[in-house]
Amino acid sequence: MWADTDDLAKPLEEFAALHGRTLRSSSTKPIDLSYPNPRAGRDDRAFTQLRELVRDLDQDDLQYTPFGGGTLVRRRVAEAMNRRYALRLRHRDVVLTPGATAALSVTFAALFRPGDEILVVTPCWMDYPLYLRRSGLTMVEVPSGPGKRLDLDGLRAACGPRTAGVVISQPACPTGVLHSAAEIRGLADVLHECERRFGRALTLVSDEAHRDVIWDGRPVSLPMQVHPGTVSVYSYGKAWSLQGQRVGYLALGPGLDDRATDIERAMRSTGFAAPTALMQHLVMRIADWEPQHESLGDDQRWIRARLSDAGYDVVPAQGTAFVYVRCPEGVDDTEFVRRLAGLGVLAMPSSLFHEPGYFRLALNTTRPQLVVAAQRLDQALNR
Amino acid sequence: MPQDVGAVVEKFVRSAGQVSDDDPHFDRRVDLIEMGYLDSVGVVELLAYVAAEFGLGIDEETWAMMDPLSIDQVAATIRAGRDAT
Repeated sequence: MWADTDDLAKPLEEFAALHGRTLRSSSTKPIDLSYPNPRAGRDDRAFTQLRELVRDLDQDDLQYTPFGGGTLVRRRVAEAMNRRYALRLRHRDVVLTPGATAALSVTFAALFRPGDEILVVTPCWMDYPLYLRRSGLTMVEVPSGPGKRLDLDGLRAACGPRTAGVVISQPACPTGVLHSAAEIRGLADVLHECERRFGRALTLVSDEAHRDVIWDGRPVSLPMQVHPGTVSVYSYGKAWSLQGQRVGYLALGPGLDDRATDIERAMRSTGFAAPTALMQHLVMRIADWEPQHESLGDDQRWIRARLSDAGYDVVPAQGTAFVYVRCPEGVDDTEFVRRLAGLGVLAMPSSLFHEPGYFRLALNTTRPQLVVAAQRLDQALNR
Repeated sequence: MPQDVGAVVEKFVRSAGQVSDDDPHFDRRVDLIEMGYLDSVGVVELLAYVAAEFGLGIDEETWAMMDPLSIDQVAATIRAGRDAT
């Protein structure tokens, strides 16, 4: 059965092979800007709390919790979201998950039916299509518009009688574009219009894994504030550079308040269960905190200006650690990423994100390393 | 001076449920389980606390019948139990 997903699984596996070969190469001292595992400029307050927790907790504190997570921590997360975004979530509307990936997978499995069509704004995070297909859902790609912003007309045109949901990311992965309040309002209007036209409620899945990685200071507008049938997906790991600890949640908007049991059953039947008890204790402590990204902002502004000066077409953005850049005219993204690897810079080709012609850099290292990477990117352009 | 039973129960619930002082939804009438202020462990701890603090053994059926399971209901049950003795 896994063979059914070969075409979706292989591109990343092929990139992983290139990644491994490049890192083993001794000639170039490669700089790895592919995966977003930050090695510099991290806000370490959550990690410090984790250290203290390990010291403070006893074995009784590390026992099983319900499938959706402990009641008190779910309430703490709901309260934090309510305070920040003027929502009215209850603890049952929040389901703790082992990272945003599990939240997405469980959402697709629990809230849609096989055969449903799901509109996905592209470029998008690499594994939405994999998860959708595993749940028997049909993905309909809706390319983003100029500047990689939401194409509301395109979404309206793609809606049909079998459409059951829409997937966006806010801010967008891999581009880093933060959708404005007006764009989010416009999206809600389009969904409402489609709901009336086809007589079917539409669920908006808003992947907010990078919600707390906004480096230009703009406020984040949440789709849940304007579309009641929204699922918000979040990752504490992304926010606090603890990705490997896999802790996040999904929150159900008021239009989905009767679906919490479906989600909890999906958690159970997929075997995901809640995050570890240790990480739930951490969330209890940090739910109200916001990570600082000052050095990321400095690096983003610097490298964007540097690459633009060199002649690259950089997609303007406001969030995430990513820089999304157009490949030189006539050069395929996979070919260009191989060229970069040969020069000692590891980047991800946009084909992984279901769009040709671009590459993605993850700013995960120090400024001196970024300076060297920029010099190598100059060479790639001039070849 | 008579003991304010509701205040004693509230103090316990605020501590066990880690309820912040400025929580706008918390009061003595809300259902503590429905609103997520106590989990199943917290309810067992509350039962044990009532027994220790007020010298009252409230049977399981009485607990199960409380609807809502609020601070006011718990306090009323404690007062009724005291009066009966």
